[in-house]
Amino acid sequence: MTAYRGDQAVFKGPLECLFGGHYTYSWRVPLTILGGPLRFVASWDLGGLGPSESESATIQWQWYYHPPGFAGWMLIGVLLVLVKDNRSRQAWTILIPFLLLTEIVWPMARFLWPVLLGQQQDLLFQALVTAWTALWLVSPWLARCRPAAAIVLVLGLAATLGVVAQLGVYRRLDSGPFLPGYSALILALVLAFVLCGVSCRKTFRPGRFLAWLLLWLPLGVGLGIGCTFAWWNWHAAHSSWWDLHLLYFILSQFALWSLCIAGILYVVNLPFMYLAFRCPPYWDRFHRLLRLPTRPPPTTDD
Amino acid sequence: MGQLVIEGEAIERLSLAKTIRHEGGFESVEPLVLQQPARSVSLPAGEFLFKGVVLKGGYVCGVEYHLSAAGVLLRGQERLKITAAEPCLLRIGAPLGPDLHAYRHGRMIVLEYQVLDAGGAATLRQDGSHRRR
Repeated sequence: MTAYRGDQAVFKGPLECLFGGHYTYSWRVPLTILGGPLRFVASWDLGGLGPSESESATIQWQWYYHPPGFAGWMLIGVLLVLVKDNRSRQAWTILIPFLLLTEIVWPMARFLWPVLLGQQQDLLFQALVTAWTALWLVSPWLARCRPAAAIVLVLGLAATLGVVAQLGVYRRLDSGPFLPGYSALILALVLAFVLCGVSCRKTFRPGRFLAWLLLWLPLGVGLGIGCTFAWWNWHAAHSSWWDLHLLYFILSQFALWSLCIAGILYVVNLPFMYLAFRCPPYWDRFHRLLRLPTRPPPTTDD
Repeated sequence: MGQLVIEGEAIERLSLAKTIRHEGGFESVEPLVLQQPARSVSLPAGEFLFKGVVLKGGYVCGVEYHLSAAGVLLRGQERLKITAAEPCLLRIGAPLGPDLHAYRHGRMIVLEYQVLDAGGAATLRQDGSHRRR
């Protein structure tokens, strides 16, 4: 597959087999391309049975397609400046897990599994990591609220981010599988953290918290998926058969799915946990938010 | 007897299955393989299922081949009705045509590609070399 801007080739990439005879490729348009028509041509030698080059497919690219992709970055930047507790060099270390996950780990994973990790998964991952980073950044505010209010605020903020991400791509709330998936994962993470906090309320050690997370995260994922799909089906009572079909499919493989997704979430969350255990400002807000027994923060020499 | 007229070229092997209806609505099939069929083939009157086709160069098409990794059937079985009254037309085989669609998804452009046969059905390479293009 070759992308042309005018007559100049700007990108070449391999089409990947999605399933029997169907190929796909997702190309993130670089910032150097601001606007204008982009032309795509796929080439494959059909051994004399047909033309090797496809007819070109054209997309009229506009400069304003870029900014929604940076909404997450802008939000993180605003929160780093707006929240008073974040105005320190140590608080800005949250950028390390954020950048590690969105700019290094995820592009590598997409390079390795391009078919498995398509545009839907890309949107989900970026939105999830952005929301999780944003929640860590507003955690000083949340820690000052009552627990129930904090949970409501967390879910409200995460939902707002999800809606913004959804509208940035689809322009409608009721299309695509992004919003149910995102809601399920956010619910799972929040629920697992609350349960881990309760489990570690008397005795807290980082290893103990991570061990509890191993237990509660699959449960949280199971409940998150169940609640989200129950709501989705109730909300879309007029929905077509595939919602129920999908729910049945997920329920029938519930345990396996929950374990797999929880495993991925656990790994994605690890850089944030490392930060929470090693960086004094995040150690402090982590303890205050989850009402954990007070312990002296780790020194920077640790 | 009836005529099956094949509109398309480069066919190495055409797989059909004759359906046989039994009492009580039960249906069984009898496989029928045509090697390098001519443009017009005489077949006994009745209903045939189109199972698949192998083209020169190793391209294949049909339910025999269009199974995803999960085993989901991706294309319904075409039914061909052969009658003595008029020939049945089957568009299949070469020329193949690459088909490319592009659409925007946020900051991404998603491209979807397939090779279509003369009848507009997706084809793939039997030897697995279709996995990456």
